[in-house]
Amino acid sequence: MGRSVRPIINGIAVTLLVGLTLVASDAPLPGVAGMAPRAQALVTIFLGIVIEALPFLLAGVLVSSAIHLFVSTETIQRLSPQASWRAALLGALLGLAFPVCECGSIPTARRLLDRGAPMPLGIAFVLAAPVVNPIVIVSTWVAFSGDPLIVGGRIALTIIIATLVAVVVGRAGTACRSPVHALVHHHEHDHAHDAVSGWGARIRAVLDHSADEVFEMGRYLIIGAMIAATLQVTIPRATLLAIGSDAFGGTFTLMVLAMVLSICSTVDAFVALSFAGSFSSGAILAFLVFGPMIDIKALLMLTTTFNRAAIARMALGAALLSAAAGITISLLVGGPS
Amino acid sequence: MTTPPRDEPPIDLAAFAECLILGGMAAMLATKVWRGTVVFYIHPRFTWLVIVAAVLLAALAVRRMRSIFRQPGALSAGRAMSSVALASAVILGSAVPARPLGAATFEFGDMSFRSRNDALTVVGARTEGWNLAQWAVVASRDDATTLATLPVDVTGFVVHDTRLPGQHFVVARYVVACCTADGTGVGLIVRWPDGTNLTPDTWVRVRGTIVAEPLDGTTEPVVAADDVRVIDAPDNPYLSPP
Repeated sequence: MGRSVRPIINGIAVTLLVGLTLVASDAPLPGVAGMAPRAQALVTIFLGIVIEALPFLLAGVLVSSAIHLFVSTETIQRLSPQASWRAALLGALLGLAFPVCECGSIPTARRLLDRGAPMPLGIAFVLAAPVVNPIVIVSTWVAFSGDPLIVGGRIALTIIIATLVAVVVGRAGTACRSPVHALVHHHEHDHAHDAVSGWGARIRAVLDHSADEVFEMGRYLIIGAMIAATLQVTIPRATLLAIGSDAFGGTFTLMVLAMVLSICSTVDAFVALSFAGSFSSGAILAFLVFGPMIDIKALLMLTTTFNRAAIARMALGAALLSAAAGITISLLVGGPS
Repeated sequence: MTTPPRDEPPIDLAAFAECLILGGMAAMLATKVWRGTVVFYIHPRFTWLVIVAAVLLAALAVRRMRSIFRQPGALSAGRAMSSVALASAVILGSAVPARPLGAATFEFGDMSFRSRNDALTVVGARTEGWNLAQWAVVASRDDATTLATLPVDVTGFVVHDTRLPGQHFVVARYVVACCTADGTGVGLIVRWPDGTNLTPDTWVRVRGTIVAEPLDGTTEPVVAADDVRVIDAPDNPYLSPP
């Protein structure tokens, strides 16, 4: 173990022991009981994002670990289409089988790519799965009372944009950051997954591997949640909404808002609904399509899987296509919805 | 003279810290559920997901415990950073007192709210049973004069705004669909002789009648309060989308 990091680890251990003692005694740390209201609000929003995202992150790392341990490279490669378009389309629809939001889709895609899935499939899955899955489709349907433009438009636009971006970025060259198996593991099961047999051993192996993934993915969730919470507290929502509500300004405003808010895709439709009286259907669609693809916490989590150039292309492609779709629909349909 | 290298400790400190972090996160979530403060952060319908997450994290911590007494492995800066990031969430969640969103982040200028409940109307409605989210829906849609004379009985926290004249304050709540990140402030302006003396974030029950009152160049629905009573904060400080 490196001497430079050992003090950090020791510090964490001691601090956590103190923290856990305080949890047990219900006594806040000195000085934080009377913290400034806005700082308190920042912590409340930060913890809101983290607590809401954790179950979905855990679902994602469990699926990811199961794929890592029990699905062979040959199986993934055999089941994956080789043509870019077909692979991307399959990836865009795969969320129907793995109903996870962005916190869960990234570790799953990471493992699929590690197991030999084509790059367009992984990219399209990351971009589309948070929307093209049964839970999100139902929540959008409920929120907008089955409005075919919003519900159908959200699904169709997500599939189209995710497929297009995946094909383009997938062809642009190497998109993966690094082989996933380069992660540091310190337990013994890592490369013995083929030999894992029996349900007890399998569950233990999945838990061991999932713990590693929680640390690998979790730090980006935490940092992203802190950035999102800070922006929410420092930039009033009214300031963003004041940029404009016409076809161009409204679409841009709601896309920025979707990125800053970093709301889970399973319920973002209820939030979008509150803007429906002021913004056009096109702007609302841009919010519902772009937000789940690229928000602050997802951007950071993507760095675990893709290199910076690929993430920049994905973000730019998703932003341009979402904006184009939102503005076009706004001009055709008019607004507010 | 050189100091002889010390022997490595027999335990893996990194695994020990990770075990504490996973266990601490599970304990933090379980504590918030146990004390009922988890609803300060997320909508109550997701509480079961938090319980599942706490159980899973505890299971991961128990499994990681086995690694503590093995030969320490290599430790990268990335792994240390991950521990620091996750530990910070545990520390913030454990040491900072749980408090809901309140007056500090309430945006007075953005109280309009739309609902999927298009049937929400004042015609024939028993409006004294409405909460602030329902009032916000009709207030953003209907003219203030349409709402005049309707009875109001709402609870919320006190917000003061310098743009309001004396004796006026806002009784407010947050509407949360998922977590505090999507919290949207809703509220009604209240006219009450002692209104300016109420401390921000104090929970009150307001009973009165809507009047159309010219404020800052526009006509706004204002509650002419008959009674403003300080009350305890409700178990769930947030409202669901109507």
